[in-house]
Order: sequence, then structure tokens, then C-alpha cells
Amino acid sequence: MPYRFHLPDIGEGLEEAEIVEWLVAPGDTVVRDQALVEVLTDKASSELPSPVAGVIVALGGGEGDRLRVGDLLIEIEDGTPAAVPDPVAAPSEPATVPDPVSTPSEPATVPHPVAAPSEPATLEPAVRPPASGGPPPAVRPKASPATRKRARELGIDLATVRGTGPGGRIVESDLQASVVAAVAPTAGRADDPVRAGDTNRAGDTTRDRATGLGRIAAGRHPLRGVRGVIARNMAQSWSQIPHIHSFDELDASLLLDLRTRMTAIGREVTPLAVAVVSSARALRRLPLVNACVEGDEIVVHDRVNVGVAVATDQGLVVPVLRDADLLDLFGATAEIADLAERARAGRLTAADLTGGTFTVTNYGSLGGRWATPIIPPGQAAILGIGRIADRPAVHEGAVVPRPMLPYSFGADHRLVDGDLLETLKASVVDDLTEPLRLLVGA
Amino acid sequence: MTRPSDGQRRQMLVDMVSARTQSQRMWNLQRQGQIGTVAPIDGHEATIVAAAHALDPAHDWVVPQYREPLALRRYGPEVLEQFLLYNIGHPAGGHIPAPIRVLPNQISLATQLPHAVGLAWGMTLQDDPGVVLAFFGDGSSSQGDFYEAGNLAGVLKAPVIFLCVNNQWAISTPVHLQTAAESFAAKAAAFGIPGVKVDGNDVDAVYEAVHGARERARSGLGATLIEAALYRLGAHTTADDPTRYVPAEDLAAARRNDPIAILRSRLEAEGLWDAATQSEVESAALTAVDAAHERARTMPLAPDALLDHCVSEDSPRLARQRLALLAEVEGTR
Repeated sequence: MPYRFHLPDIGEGLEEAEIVEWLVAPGDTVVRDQALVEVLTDKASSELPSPVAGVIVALGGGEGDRLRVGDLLIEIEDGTPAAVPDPVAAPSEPATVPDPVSTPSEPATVPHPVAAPSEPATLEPAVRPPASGGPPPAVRPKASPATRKRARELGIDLATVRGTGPGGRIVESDLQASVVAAVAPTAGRADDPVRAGDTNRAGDTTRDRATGLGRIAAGRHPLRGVRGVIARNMAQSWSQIPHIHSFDELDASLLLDLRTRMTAIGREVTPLAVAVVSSARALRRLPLVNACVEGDEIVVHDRVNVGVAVATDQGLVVPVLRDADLLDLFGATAEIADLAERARAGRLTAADLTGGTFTVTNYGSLGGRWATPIIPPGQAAILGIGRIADRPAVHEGAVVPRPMLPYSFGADHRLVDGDLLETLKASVVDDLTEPLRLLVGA
Repeated sequence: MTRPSDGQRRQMLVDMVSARTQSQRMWNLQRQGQIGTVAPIDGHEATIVAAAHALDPAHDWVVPQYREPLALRRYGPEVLEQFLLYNIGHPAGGHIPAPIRVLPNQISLATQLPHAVGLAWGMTLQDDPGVVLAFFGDGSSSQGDFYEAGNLAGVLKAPVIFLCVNNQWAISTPVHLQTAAESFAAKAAAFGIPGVKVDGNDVDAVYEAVHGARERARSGLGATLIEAALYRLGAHTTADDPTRYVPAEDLAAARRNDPIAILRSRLEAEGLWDAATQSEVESAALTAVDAAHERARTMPLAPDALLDHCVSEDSPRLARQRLALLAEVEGTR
């Protein structure tokens, strides 16, 4: 019978733990006290050592799974007498009852005496002997448990990340760099897309003070991490893309009216979602804007994916709504809210951050009116929207206060001339001015 | 100068290596869900072992806190056996049988110190020639019990040695947030007793200090406070994550002063130790801790065991309760 190792209470009153990383796989031979798995509790990350010597039969969960104390963690065939060999045992090990002492290079009962002095950070004496049993594990990239956890959240394979920490160790900023590398942030910030059209909301600068925005010690600092990626992308965009910009403002009365009436019937539509959907549908009709220049070629993208810039504590990130031209206003609103929430919680995956073909940046949430947003590499245009506020407008022959939405378009002049930019702009402005147009289908 | 002999120093290293090996095995047992919370011994071995070797197990009492038992090998294998019983939660683990002069573990900080003074005072009254050595930590020194015990010991000239194991951390509280005194040894001034500070990684220094304090106590001069300064090389307990607060560079520096490495290199230079000895000692230590675990695991557990070892003899009321409990359990079977 395999030994069944259940998740123990390794803290004091622990209820559950997350499987961070398996250090063994079914079929592996382990010695007693060999580290099996790294788990994360609310207190610490810990390696759990094997209670017995034997062959791994089955794992009780996948990496990222949360197990409750008492749940089956792993089954190990430890050679205690069984009537019938366990058919679940790995086929590569026909003898399900190995001699645990014959395979390891050291006696199964002798752990490494003392952590090597060259590894001062190792405080857990759990043994990790050379994998003399099963196949040697692939070389593990060096990273702390916290970094590994973060990498899993971001959907990053550590083997693809270059570490910049001591001894090539992967540190948190390397993950951010790896994620953001594929996507270019824009100059503007969409702090809270959901509340983009709030006419009464002033720019929230107290939040910036609270988060330490803009603070850094005097002296020289390496340009790396998210900041390094933003710097490289922006320098590339600014030096290679000849930008043209066009600014105007539109009457947002119907846009706000739509939102108010939707709210009244329990539905939600935000001005930002209207901007995203209207831009995406315009790009579908104007594929030259859904494109970019690479060397001597124009690359026209097949799909229309719209990035929405979101400010996070780590810096600006731009999660992407895939096939935004096929979304309706409700779907786009919900998806933007989801992406923004996950961005702030640090739970975006690499897939969320790549493949954008156009960007919308809502600098209005910070109180801005006009801006000259920079186009991310790989794209040809960008839309920035400012804060909606009552401003004087000529309406039916009289100057009256109207809720006005200021906006800024930027485009790559290598692909987009003034006439094309104005055509794109007119289409989007028409939809924002009368969003009912978007209800009749793409 | 009273230095331990070569034979004593070699035996000290045996005890230190055994303690660390067993402590690491117990860490793994805890991580495997087989025993409860454990306080790793890494870094404390020289102080505890040298102190034990400066005492006479036949006459002198040890009053531990909770980290010391693995290093009290000199007091007999029963200490390890009872420690494992204690760690699996068996009530019998709270009692160390005579003639072993070691009190049970104490988790509540500093409450063992008044016990130690009372024990020492009682020995004086009974003309018992032994002394009492009580272990406590830098954190415990902030407890009221420490001051009460120290004061009483000073007044009574009780034959007690207060050994403050200053491992620089009270869980996550560093020494500079623990006291504004220049040292823990300096607190002896308040009790009118001598205070001595020694290098807790040096078995010779600890041995000499404890030996001197013992001589003083036996000659009727009373108590001594010894501070042994060392560095906790592991977690506070299995429920702690020191990587959150111990500066990596401090830990790295402390590891260069690992008490086992220091003594081992000295003894190897003197031809008293080699790799084969190290391996034998580790192997024997593992066998011993595994045997103690197996003994604890298979120890019968009577329903009324929780009433044992509270008092020397059941009072009439306790005897009635014991019978009622057993009848109740019997009735549910």
C-alpha cells in the first residue's frame, strides 16, 4: 500500500496551503526527508520533506492548487507489504517496491548535516539530495519562493526569464520586465476606466501622495524592471514613430445619458468601453490603422485587439481586450473592469498583456484635458480621452454649459495621413456622441 | 582558569553535533505532520552543552526553557525520549522521571525562573549540595518573573545560576528593541549578584563561567547571572519565517561563527576529531531520535493520563474525578 502523506498543519492553526512547486514527479525515487514540494501558507513558504523512502505514485494537486490541512498531498510507494502491486504505480518502474537504500547515493536516513555556508539564506534543513533515483530534474532557475509565486500568477515560465539578481537569481523586477517587454505602455494613464466619465470627480492626487508616487532617493539608480521597459519602449516609439496628433472635444450628453439609463435598469456601460468598442469597429473598417511598420514592410494585423492603459503600483501596464471589434458595450465594460482589477492585484497573465493593435488611454481619470499620447511599438494609433466636465458650448444657437469630453488622437504618420486620421476620428466621435449607433451591430 | 579536558571537549562536540542532527530531523518530522512545533537548536549548541558539562548531573538541576532538551544529552537518554513524547503531545512527556534532574519544558516566558529559585532554596533547606541552572532567553529578561526571581535569589543567596541565552532575537524582536541596558549581564546589579557576559559560541568560555558560578553557589555565596551571547542560526520555531526580518548579511556573518564549526576545527587540529567521527555521531544521533519518536508514537495513552504528574498523589477529589472519567470513557465504548 502506498504511504499517503496528507497536508500537515505546519504552522500553528494552519487551515490550508498553496502548492507552489513540486520538486518530484510520479516515478521519482525519493529518500526519507528529501524535499517533495514547496508550499505557501499565509505565514511562510516551506519545503515539505518526505516521511518515507520510496517511489512517488501520485500527486494530490497541481501547482497553484490550494489544499486544506488533511487533504491528500502525495502518495509514495514505500515498500510496506501490499497484497497486490499498486496498478497506479508508474509504468517505468515495474518493481513498485524498490529498495530505497540501494538507489540513493547516501544512506536514506542521513540528511545533509548542516546547510552549506555558501547558502546562508537556506534556513530550512529539509534535505534535497542529488536525484539519484528518478531522472535528474531540469536545472531550476534560481528564484525565491515569492518570485516563483509571482511568476505563476503572471503566467511566466521562469526558464524564459533572465535573472539580474545575485548569481543570476531571478528577482521580481525581472518578471515585470518580461511581461511588459511584449507590450508597450503609453504616455497617458487610465487610472480608473470604470469611472472615466464621472463629471463630478476631481483628479485624485491624494492617492498619489499615499503611494509615494514620484519619490526616489538622490543619486544614480539602475534603469530596470518595469521602468526600464517603459523607458526602452517609449524611446523606441518617440525616436522611430513620427507622431501626428489631433485634438478636439465632443458633447457627451448622450453618452452620460446612456450610462445613467443603463444604470437605472441595472446594467453598466462606461464611456471608456464606448471608446474602446467604437475605436475597434473603426479599425476593422480602416485596416491601415490596425497595422504597424516593421523595417521596410507594413504589417497589417489580422485581429483588432485594444489595449487599455492602467496605472499600477509597479508602473503603467496595458492589458488587452482581444477582438474588441466583436464585443458589445456590456461585454467590453465588464472585461475592462476585470482587467483593471487584475492589473492592480498583480494577477495579469502574459497573454493579457500582449498582442495589442491599438490603445486607449484614459488620462481624464487623473483630471487631464489634453495630452499627446505616445503610440506603443507595434501599433499605428492611440486614443486618449480626458475628463468630462461642464464647459461652455454652442448648443442650438446659444452658449450653454454642456458636459464636454476632450480627446486626443495620435497616429504614425508613416502610415496615417491627416485625412485617414480625421476619418478614424470622425467615426469614433460619432459613436461617442451618439452611442446608440453601437447598438445596431458591428 | 578552569578549562574542560580534551575528553570533555570531545564529548561536548559529540553532544553538539547530536543535538543539531536531531533538531534537523525533528524539523522534518514537524513538516511531515508527525510532531508539533519545534524550536531549532542551530547556533545554541555550545552554550547549552558546555553549561551541562560544567554541572554534575547527579546533583545539579537543569531548568530548561523550550529549546534546550536536545543539548542535554549529558543528563541521560531519558531527556530526549521525554522530549519526543512531549512533542507528539503525550501528557507523559511533561514529566521527566527520577533520578534525572531536569525539569519539564517551559513555554511561558520566564515562569521557570521563580521555580528555579524555589528549587535552589529548597535544596539549601534540605542540605542538598547541588545547584540549579536555569536557561532563559533575551526576550524572557523583560518579564516580571525574571526580576522577581533574580531579586529573591539575591536576597536568599540561593544556589542558582541564571543563564541568559542571548541569541539576539526574541522571535522577531532584536536585542536593541528588547533592552536599553548595556547588556543582559548588567541587570545582575539590581539583584546584588555578579553578572558575567561570555561568548556563547565558545565552549571553553561558557564552561569556565558556569563552573565558576557553580563553585560560588556551592560555597554559599549565592546566585550568578551569566549572559551567553550567540546568534540564532535558524528559525525561532517551525511556525516562524526569519527570512522576513533577519538581515541576510548578519546571518551570513553569524554562520562564520557557527559554534560547531569552531569547535570541530579546533578538535580536528588537535587530532581529536575527523570526518568519520562526525559521520558516526550523526548516524547514531539519527538512530536515537528515530527510536525516541517510535517509542513516543507507540506509547499507550490512557484516558486519564492528563491527570498524571500534576501532583505527587491524587487528592480525594482528584481520585474521584479520575474514576468518574474512566467510567465515562468505559461507558462510551
